[in-house]
Amino acid sequence: MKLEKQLIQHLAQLSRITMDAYEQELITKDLSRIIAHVDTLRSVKTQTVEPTHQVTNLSNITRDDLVTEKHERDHILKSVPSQEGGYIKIQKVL
Amino acid sequence: MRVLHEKLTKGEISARELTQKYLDAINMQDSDLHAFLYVNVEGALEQAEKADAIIKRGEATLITGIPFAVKDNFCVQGMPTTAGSQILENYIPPYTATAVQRLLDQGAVLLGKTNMDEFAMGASTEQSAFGPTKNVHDTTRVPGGSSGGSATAVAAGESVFALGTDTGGSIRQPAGFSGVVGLKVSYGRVSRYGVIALASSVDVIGPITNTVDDAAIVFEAMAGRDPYDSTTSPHPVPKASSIQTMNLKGITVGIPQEYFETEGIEEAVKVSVEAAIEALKNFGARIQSVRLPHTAYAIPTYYIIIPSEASSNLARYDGIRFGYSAKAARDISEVYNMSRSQGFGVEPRRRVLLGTFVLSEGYHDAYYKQAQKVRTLIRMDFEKAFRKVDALITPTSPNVAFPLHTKDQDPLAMYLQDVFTAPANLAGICALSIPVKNLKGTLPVGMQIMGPAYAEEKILRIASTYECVRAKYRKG
Repeated sequence: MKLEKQLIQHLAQLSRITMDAYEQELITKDLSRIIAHVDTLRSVKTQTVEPTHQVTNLSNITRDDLVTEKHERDHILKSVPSQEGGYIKIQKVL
Repeated sequence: MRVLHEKLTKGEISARELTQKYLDAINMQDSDLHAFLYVNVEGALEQAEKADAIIKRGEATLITGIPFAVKDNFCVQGMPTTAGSQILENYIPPYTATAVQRLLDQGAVLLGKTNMDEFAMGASTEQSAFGPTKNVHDTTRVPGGSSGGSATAVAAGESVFALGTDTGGSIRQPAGFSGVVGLKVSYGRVSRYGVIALASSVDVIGPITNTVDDAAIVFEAMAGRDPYDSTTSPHPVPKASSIQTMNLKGITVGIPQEYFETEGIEEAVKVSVEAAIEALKNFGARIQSVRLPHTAYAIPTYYIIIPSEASSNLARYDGIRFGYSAKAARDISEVYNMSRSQGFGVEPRRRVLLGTFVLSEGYHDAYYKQAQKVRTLIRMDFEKAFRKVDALITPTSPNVAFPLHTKDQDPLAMYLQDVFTAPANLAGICALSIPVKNLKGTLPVGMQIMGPAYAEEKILRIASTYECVRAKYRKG
């Protein structure tokens, strides 16, 4: 399958990734080769085969909704890119 | 590890002294090898002192006071956790992964965080945003990946053991390349809580160690149900002490022909693994040839399912909640676009685009759904084989460690490194890599032993038996 420039740009937009023309060309070449490789799956007969979504055979595993772990405010503030006066600071973008 | 445990409990060495010894080794060697991204100098010494107190009280377990390292995709509270990516360069998690916490609770000493391919996407550790790790057996070669930092740390004596993660071979392949033991547990055996996700339906974590016994000890300490990971299994965890060795009576080992017939398999790898299999016969193992007809489809299946799950897992890196945030962004869309484009390296971008493609409208059924169906066929191949045999033995990789910068510009060549390891992940079964004697060279060769889901005890038993044979051979 040939990857059109338009399709790559659409995927980049869906993925929230921007690329310059050079990068776009490289990645198009790489993806075309990878997709040609994975295309071999098309020949496998699977009409009667069920898909595998997960391998555990577990379902509806729940736990009691209890507070068991203390997430310290200071620890959480350390994990964000920017903070000020105990608040998570983000750029004015909205 | 048992030897160190004895020394610690007899008072021949303190946990603090032992920790200092390993910190010194890191200090001496790691500027060349680059196994570590972060060394926890003060924290480790503090933990060692606590371990000494536990030992004094007579409450030590086998891992109390033992220095270890974790791959940099395990969250540890207060410690930088990058997953090898620029986008998480300044991320300091507010909590600790369950697997690490269970070891710390027993008094193990955390030396630091090890290098890895960015978001565990790679087979050489060259895709780390912070530069490659070297193979300790030949520093012009890769250590394998993505848990290459953990493999080198153990192989180079910079850590007693290390944790890695395995999505398509990322524990076993670097263990094979570096001459150490790597255990990929069955899916759901060990909690993934607090481990940065690559592909959630296949990701597992496990130990990289010097011996099979060490792997069994660490496995026992970490495994079991965790309320914070709903995929963890209620199956009872085997005790390290109950693993038999030097006796394979009643064990039938299957040799999947497809693996040995794979194009590009190196002669040294093939003959070395065949010789190791032969050695197992002397301990009562029966060897039987088996077929896994869908083996050739494992890599194409893997490289549809993994990018799909990765593109979804990596959607959380939005430049706002954690990690890198592009300063020049002017609106919300630019925050996303610029932070992700500047923060992600080339492989994550490639996989996010690929995953988005195979999941997108018009392509979903032809790619993603078809891959999930072929995944079923690959699982059924294993199920059928395990009705006849107890375990399967193959090489871990088709080749020995390759020179740095020979595959890092060719994603497909890198993907094909997973050809022998990815099937176990798709099926959720357990597998390990153990070093075998290389009959045609000096670089390490890994042998893979795969067993049914939750049959870790069985594959550890076979590996332990081989290890004893090899030790005798060395002495002789």
